[in-house]
Amino acid sequence: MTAHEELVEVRGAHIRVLRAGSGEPLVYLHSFLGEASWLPFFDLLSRSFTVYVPAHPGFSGSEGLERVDTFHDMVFHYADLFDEIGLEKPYIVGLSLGGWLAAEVAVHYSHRVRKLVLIDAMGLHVAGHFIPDMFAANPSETRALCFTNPDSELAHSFVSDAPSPEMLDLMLTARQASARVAWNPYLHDPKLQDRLYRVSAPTLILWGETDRLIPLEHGRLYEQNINGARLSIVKGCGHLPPLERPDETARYVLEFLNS
Amino acid sequence: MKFYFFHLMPWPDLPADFSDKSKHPSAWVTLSNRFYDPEKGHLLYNRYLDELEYAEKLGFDGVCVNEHHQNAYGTMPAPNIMAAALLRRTSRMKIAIVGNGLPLRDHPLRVAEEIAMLDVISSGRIISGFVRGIGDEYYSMGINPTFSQERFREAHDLIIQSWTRPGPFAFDGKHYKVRYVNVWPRPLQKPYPPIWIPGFGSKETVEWCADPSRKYAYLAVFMPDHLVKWFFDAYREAAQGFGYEPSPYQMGHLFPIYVARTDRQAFEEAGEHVLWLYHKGLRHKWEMFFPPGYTSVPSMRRIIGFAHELNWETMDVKELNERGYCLIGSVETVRERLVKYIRELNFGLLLPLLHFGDMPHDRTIKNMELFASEVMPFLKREFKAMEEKWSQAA
Repeated sequence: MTAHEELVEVRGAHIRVLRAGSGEPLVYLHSFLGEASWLPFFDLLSRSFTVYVPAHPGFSGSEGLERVDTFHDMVFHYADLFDEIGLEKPYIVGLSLGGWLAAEVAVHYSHRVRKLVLIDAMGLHVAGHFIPDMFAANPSETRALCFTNPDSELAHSFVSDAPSPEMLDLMLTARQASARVAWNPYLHDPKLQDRLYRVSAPTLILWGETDRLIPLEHGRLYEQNINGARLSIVKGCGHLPPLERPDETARYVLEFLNS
Repeated sequence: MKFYFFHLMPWPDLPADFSDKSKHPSAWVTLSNRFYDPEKGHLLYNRYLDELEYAEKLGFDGVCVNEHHQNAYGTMPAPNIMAAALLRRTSRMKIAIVGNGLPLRDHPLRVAEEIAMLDVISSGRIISGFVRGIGDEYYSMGINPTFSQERFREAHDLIIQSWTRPGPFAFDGKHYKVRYVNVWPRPLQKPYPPIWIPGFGSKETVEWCADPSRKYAYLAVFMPDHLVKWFFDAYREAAQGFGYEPSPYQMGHLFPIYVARTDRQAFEEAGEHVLWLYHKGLRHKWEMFFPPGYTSVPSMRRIIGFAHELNWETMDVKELNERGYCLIGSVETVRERLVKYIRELNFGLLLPLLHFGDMPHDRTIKNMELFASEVMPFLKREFKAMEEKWSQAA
């Protein structure tokens, strides 16, 4: 499927948004890698939904990082973006950094989330569970943290040792924009866990069983703190189920959204 | 020409298997402090301070202390403390503090106060460097590197205002908000101590230094010849764009120098210590040397373009010397190359690193003495015209 690409202006910043499919609106919030190009996973979702894939400020050709000082600026940005596109109450699916963002949007704007899917979401701190330093990781270490098979072509296509100039820009900007909001406290907001009671949308937590970056314990903590949430585990999968296992992940997501 | 003896105070006793990079990927951040021995450290600090004090007797214009955190490359996390230790044991020479890492400190007014204290105690012998700290230090201190540049600029503005505006006044920045800025003591030098800014890779910094409201000295640090030239040219161009001719004292060159009676002797004596510096002390993990957002994406692209130049570990002493990462040779060789450098690059501040790596004390003293007796006066004479034309600016 070909996605329609447009630049949406949000408070003077151009935001890159991909869109395809038909049906009710679903917004996908991407990970720290900035995967805002059209993926097989989106194809599967777009058979049932109008899928929107915005690039966060500072990622993948979206402007506006200079206004982002904290994670909450990202959250307000999404309220603005939804207004701009005319999304009153979309389904939201977020992966990794985008999962954290989805959880925060659901905390702050609970009435604007139809259903929530958090996949290997950052955002929480689990006492005693050590999260590796992804900012200090080189490409090979990053692949090992994120992918079940770090040597696969898939892993190299997202995290390359010898990136093209375009890929290099994507990697540098994604790294910078992630650090802007998630350097310290590292990949979490200490207040988020206590605020999760505000999430009112039906919620699916989906987790790669062998996630080496944000381990399964984080998924369990989300499950415990969001009313009615249930946790499903993608067996033998790492940090990025929509990238590694698009079919299986889409099945879980569609089954939940259509129920 | 002005000469400032630069010291890094390295920790020379690295683990025996340090050459194994898989075990020890860096001399920074992750190299365990169990390799630091405080008993030995006591002797070493005092030996290094002796060397710095001796520079005054040898006629150097000054010495430079510097700031690095949690590493073996340089063990001066608090350079103001070193400056304080030196002030009371010397009476004439300047002390350049090439810290303070402004974004790494919680409060810029602490820097303003400490520098002012040192300036008053020393009767105006302080040169105040301002730095951002190197990338690794953002990991060591947990400071967000994506705010490094804006915190640096804002901290700088607050410090300069605290030294020049009568207090109390209010400062309302993005990162620093103070209702009552009123720094006691005020610095002795007017309007405030000279400012030096060491640079690495960013053209924006050069242009910022050259601004006529600042005219800060820009220091090229451990750069190969052509990069030093590129940055000094950029400085001149920026100054000309502002409509003035910069003084050579607005440009400084910092790199290791070793001088002996013959080229051969110099290489024999200095070789291993240069390799310690470039192969061990400067061993970084690239991702830690360049944390996210520490350098703008366009600057980062440029740095990646010349990354092969930073691949010191593949260079032997001869190559490091030829490329200009160090200068090793006889009195004649060192004189000749420095004269060529200074003529071509037209800079007035030379900051020789005369101790480097695991160089022992006697060798350091020998190097300092020979440089001070054979090279320094020679260059002062050779570039007397510079002194006469620009002494005001120095």
